[in-house]
This record gives sequence, structure tokens and C-alpha cells, in this order.
Amino acid sequence: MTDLEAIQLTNELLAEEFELELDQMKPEALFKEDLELDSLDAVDMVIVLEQAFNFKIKKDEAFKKIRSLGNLHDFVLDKKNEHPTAVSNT
Amino acid sequence: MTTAMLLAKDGAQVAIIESFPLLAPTVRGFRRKGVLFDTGLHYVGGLGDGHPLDVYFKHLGISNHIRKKAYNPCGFDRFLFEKKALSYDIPCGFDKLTSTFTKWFPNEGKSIERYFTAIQQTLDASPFLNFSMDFDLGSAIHSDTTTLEDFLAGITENEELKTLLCYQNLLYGVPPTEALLITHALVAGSYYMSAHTIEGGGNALVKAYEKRLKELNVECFCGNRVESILINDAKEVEGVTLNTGKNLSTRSCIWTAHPHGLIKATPDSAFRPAFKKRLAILEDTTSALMLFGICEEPIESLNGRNIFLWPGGSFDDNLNGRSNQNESIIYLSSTYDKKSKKTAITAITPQPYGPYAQWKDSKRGNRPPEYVEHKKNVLETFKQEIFRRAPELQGSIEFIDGATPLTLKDYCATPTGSLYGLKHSVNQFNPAPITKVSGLTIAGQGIVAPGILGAIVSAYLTCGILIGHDHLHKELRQHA
Repeated sequence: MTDLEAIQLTNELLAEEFELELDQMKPEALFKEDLELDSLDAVDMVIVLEQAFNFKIKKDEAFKKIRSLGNLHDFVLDKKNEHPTAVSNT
Repeated sequence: MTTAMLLAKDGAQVAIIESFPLLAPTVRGFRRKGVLFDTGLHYVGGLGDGHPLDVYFKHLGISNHIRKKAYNPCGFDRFLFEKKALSYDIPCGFDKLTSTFTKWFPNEGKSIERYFTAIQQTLDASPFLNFSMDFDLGSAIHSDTTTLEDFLAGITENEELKTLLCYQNLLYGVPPTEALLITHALVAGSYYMSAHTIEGGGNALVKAYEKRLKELNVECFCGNRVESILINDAKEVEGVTLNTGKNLSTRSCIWTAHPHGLIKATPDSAFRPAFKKRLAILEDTTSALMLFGICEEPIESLNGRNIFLWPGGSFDDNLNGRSNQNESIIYLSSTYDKKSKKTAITAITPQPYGPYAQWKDSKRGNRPPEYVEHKKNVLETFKQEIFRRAPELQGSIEFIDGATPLTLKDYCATPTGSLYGLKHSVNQFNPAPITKVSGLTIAGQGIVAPGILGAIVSAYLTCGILIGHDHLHKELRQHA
């Protein structure tokens, strides 16, 4: 999976699982202010991403620092590159 | 029942909706041949004077209605390594535990100290168990994800010691590979503080709760099921509809049934797909086989203690349904029934739900003959296994009834007959007490920790969100 495909998949998953519009999926979009996703949604997001990308987030402190969709894209790409064998489950 | 009491004490008008015809069917137990059997309590941790459960019961006004009975403080659990014919009596109290374990394993002093220090530190750090701590909502979230297995591997290589330090995983139904150290500390640690039963068993506890609920004017709708929770477009709770068609109007609903049922009971639009999928994939703890027997005379070895018969193997295999019956752990417990002057014995062994799923739609008292035959056979094998492994019991116990995962499914109201509801595991996120729907909160043993103490802590956490943590905590401190 290329980086672009990973970003696309992340956006599609969030749109589907959190009932958002794809045109809201801009890197500068803030989770709390723009997408209205809070700490309760963050737990659901962990599970959605873990299942889709087949990597573990639970112990990752970096995830707690994510504020924008762009931060999340960077996080997903870092994880993907840490675990190049992780396969998308979608 | 605890959430109902806390809210009623605070002045709210409260109703409990219970699908079973009576409150607390699992803890209440049952009577056969005039003897009362304890099915859900057996023994509790942390009920010693000033210990957490004692403080909670005092705050709830339960203490005056129950008589606690201490288990043997020099050995509340007897853990028997059957293959080595070695038995260990586990005492109460951290100092006593450390010195006793060090006597048993003289080369492991440092490991033993590290283990008990870690357990004690976890207990001390929780404002729900150590009431002198300032309340902090963050402490209810388990951020430490160390597993029990990893922790034990880091302190010792002695397998026998590891087994003795982790066997209480059977009291929350998650093997050490998946169990969080923090969950283990909360459950095992409460027994390390003190181990008690209640005179009259779980039945006496339920009656004490019923008395207090009545005093607090809590209305109980037993034999009624919540068919749906009414939620408006602004995502606020407006009421519930019962299976009888009756509507109850409310702005606050606390869901204390199994979390899987929450999705079915709420409109499709109430939650986003991610949350619904998350609830749907949550795994439960294992189910069990139970045998209930009667003894004319008390059994000395079970007086004030439980016995664990450990054939070796792994807790993973035991709790994940991979052990044959002769390789499965057996738990034995006894209670003296004052009324009949007889002793009731309960024997429990893990049992997977899978083979019973084919009969899941059958009703209690009207099961198909194939199931009846299967139950008869499997309980007979279990009985023979008990007498083979504890021959001293033969001739003194008459086993008169039993339970399978299907029985537990009905009485515990869990989809797969699990003993402790949702797993508290490193592999899953259990639900938080609050939801995205205003007025809809969650409590129960799936939220913080399993068992009676776990469910009570969860009730205080959820009610704290509704009526104020500091206020509840201040009241608890007055009883500590």
C-alpha cells in the first residue's frame, strides 16, 4: 500500500465509521473543533485503525498527541512504515 | 442495584428494570431439598473492617443488614498442585503473604516483594479503593497496559511461584497472557487484604439490598425487559419502553445489562457505526460447569476456605476451552446453611459455551432431550472427576443439581453464559461509563472490574458522573 492509498483509506474509514463527509477530510481539520470527535470517539478510532491496518495502537503514546487529521495521517504512515508487513484488512 | 441506591439516596426517583422475575438472580442462589446454595458470592475480598467493600456497604446502608464471616486468615484459599501433591494455604495480609511466600520460596524473596509491592501500590493509587486519595477521574482509566504474564516474567522464572501469584485470574476469567496487571491487582489485591463470606451467602446480600431499595423507595419492575431506550433527535434520553408496551419517562438511563444488548435497545441513529461495531466485537469471559452438593456434616478442609485443584497445564487453555475435563482446574467451596443445618458444596470448572450454542434458543425448564442428556452426561463426568481428584470427598457429598453454560446464560444474562461478563483484557477497550447520548450512561462489571466489588466501584464511578464524584467521595471518607 502506498502512502497515498493509506491516507485515502484512513479518510474513507473515518467518513464511514463516524458519519462524516469526505470533503471534511482535510489535513488541517481539527478533530474536536472541525470534525466534532472527542475522547470517546478516539477509542473507537483506535479500533477502526487497528483492524484496518493490522497494527497495534493501544500502547502508543503518540496517538494521544494527535489533534488534527494531518497528525493522524502522519501517525498512520509512521506505523505503516514501522510495520511494512502489516496488511490492510479492508 | 448499587446505582439505584446511590441515586435514590441523592433524592432521585429511581426505577430498576430487571428481566428476570427476581432481582440479582445469579447472586441470590437457590434452595434445593431445603438447602440454600450460593451461586454467585462464595467469598468476597476487601470486606474486613475499613477495607473498601466494608466502606461501600456502610455508605450504602447495607452493613447493618448483613453479618460478615471471615474466611480462614491463615489460608482462605488452598491451592493444590495435584501432580506434585503440594498444597499451599494462601493467607490474608500483605506482610503475612510476603513472609509466607518467602518461606515457601526462599530464593525468590526479591520477586515476591516486588509482586506484593506492585499489587499494594496499585490498590493504594486507586481513589475507589483507597479513600484517602483525592478523587481523579483519570485513575479510573487503565492506561497501564502491562499484562500479568509480562509482569511475572519480569520478576521470576519460577513457574510454581508464578502460578501461585496469578491463580486469582480465575476470579475474573482472563488468563495472564491477556489480563492487565491492574485488573489482577484490583481483584487479587482485595482478597489479599481480607477474605470473607456473608452469613446466608449471596441470598443474604440480595435481601439486604432489597431492604435498602425499599427504604429508599426504589421501584422494581422485575420480569420486565427494556425493549427500547427512547432517544430524541438531539440525542437525549427521553424514556424507555418495556416489553409489556409500558413507557417510562426519564432523562437518565443507566444501562447495567451486558453491553452487547445496548445496540439492540437503542435506535439505529443513536450511535455511530464505529461504536456499534466496537461493542459487537467485545469478548466475554469463559463459562463454566457447576455442581451443587449437600453434606450432612461440614467438611473440615473447606471450612473457611476454598480449594483449587490444579492439574498443571496453562490458565490460557483452561479459560479458552482447550482443556479436557481431566486437565481442567476445579474450584470447591462450601457454605453452611443455618436453616437446614447442612453444608452446601459448590464445584466449578471452566467450560466453553460453543457446544451449547445449538440449544441457545431453548427455554429454562423446557430444554430439548438432547440437551438434557448432554447435561446429565457432562455433570456425571464432572462428578467422577471431582471424586477421582479429591477422593476424601467421596461418600460425604451428595451432588443434587448442576448448571451448564446454558443455565448461566439465562441466570447471568450474558450472551455466552460468561461468569464475569466482558473480559478485562489487554486486547480490548471496554465501554466507558459515558456515551455520546445525553442521559445514557453505563455501569456494571464490564466497565471497571468484574465481580461484586468491581460492579460496585463501577456504580460509584457512573453515579459520580451524574451527581458529583467529590460529593460521593467525601461521604465514603466518613465511613473509611
